[in-house]
Amino acid sequence: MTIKEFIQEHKASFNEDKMSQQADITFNKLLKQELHQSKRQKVIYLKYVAVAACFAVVFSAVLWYQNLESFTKVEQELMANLDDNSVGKRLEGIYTFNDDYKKEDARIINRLIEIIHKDENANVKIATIDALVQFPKNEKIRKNLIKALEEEEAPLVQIKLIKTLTFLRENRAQKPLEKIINDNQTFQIVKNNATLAMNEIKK
Amino acid sequence: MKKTKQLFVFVLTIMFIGVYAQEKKIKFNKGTLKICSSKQFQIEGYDGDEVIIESLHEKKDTNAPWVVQGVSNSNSYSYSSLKKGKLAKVSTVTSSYSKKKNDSVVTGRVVFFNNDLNRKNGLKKLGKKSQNKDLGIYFIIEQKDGELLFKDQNQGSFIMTSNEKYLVKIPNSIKLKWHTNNCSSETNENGVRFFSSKASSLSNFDGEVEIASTLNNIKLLDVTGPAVINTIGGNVTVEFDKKYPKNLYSIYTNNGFIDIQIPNKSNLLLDVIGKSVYSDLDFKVLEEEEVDDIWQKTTRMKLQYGTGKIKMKLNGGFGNIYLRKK
Repeated sequence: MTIKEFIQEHKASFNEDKMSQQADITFNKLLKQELHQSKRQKVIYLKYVAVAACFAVVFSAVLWYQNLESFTKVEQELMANLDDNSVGKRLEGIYTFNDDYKKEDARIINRLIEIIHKDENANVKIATIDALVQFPKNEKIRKNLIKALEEEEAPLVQIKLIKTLTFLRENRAQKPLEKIINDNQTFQIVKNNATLAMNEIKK
Repeated sequence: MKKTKQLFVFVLTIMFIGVYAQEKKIKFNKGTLKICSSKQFQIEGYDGDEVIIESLHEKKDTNAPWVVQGVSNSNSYSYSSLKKGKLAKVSTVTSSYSKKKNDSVVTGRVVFFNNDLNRKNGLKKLGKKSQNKDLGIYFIIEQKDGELLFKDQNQGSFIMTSNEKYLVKIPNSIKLKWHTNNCSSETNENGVRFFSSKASSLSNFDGEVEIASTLNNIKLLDVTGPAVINTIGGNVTVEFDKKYPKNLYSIYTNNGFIDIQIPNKSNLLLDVIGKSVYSDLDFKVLEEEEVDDIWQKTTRMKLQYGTGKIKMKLNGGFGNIYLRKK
């Protein structure tokens, strides 16, 4: 059957009125689905999102509050002292950590690591090295002690770092030790310690 | 720096005229006094609002009658005035001079120029820079952002100490940050470091003090703390006469000794590390151990005196610790 024959046979079906009636029904149905119903659905969807967001906010707030609560009074005082401008206060904080606190709290450890790189006072740095070496298995601490040896210029702190890394048997300290030994600016007493440390580490 | 290594030219006065006990007063009662100087200071705390500097040495007169100029390629020379008009031979340069007035004398490589002192009689040296020198103060004074700074003029290069000695009175309300060498991290290329064997001292001070030195000895009297002191080879002596420690004491030295006088009133918790610890006091010994300090064994003790409220951390490294009765 050709198309021409098909059209002739179903001529009635190609009536314009019938076509438009069917189209109207379909169109109205689609319109209803797409516009009116979807608007309502969107609102409901947004409501769900808002409720979920509220829950998320409340949940985070509770978590944050619990987190805040987990910083005990001792810890809060400790952190405040470590951040103080007064060198005496910072030292008090570090000595409290060394004598009484002695816990491997990541937040406090991070602050102590910051101190060995940035503090201006040698006593503060030396006391901090004593604090950090209590956790010899902590890789972050070991890496930062090596980095500190590369950067440090105060002779007394250099000696402390050399002794500490020797105590930790830290092989990666060989490079900064070599640099110290070959540096003309290094104090002789630091060089002597570095040479002894090099022999000790290589054993 | 190389130039200084190869050639030192010192123009030194050989005669000092008069002792001037004049003072320089600087209004400063809040902030930090930072001293970066190898000169000998005697610092005293007081309840006031001015920093007062007084030179205790004989004032050098820049127009002294005889000026010695020494030239050398490898050695350094210095002259000091023992008596008026006499030279002390310090190095290989021999010197003699004519006693005739108004003569300049050349002896080998040393030249004596003559200045006529009487010409400046009745006149005053002009210029701001001369003001401190007129008071016998030979270091730089700077003030900015709550910090008062005293520093050596030749900071970062060759430092030569002399007989200069200063008395500095500071208010108890300020902080003291004192480096007995320069504050620059650069060390001397020549490997020449000068220091005074006489202890710099701090007395009667109630504020916070930080002292850092390499070889200089440090002496504290009636300093209540917080006191934060470090030295490589210097000795630290702490005495109390009318006061007692009220705040943290932290002292680190690599191989100097630490000698502390402990008054009856004290309430201390001492953490002591040193080659040996000596005392004539009745401490409560909380802990005692021999520590392997990598190359040498040291003694570590935790001691309590009184209630143990104030912490005193003393690390003498390979030096001894002496704790004595007042």
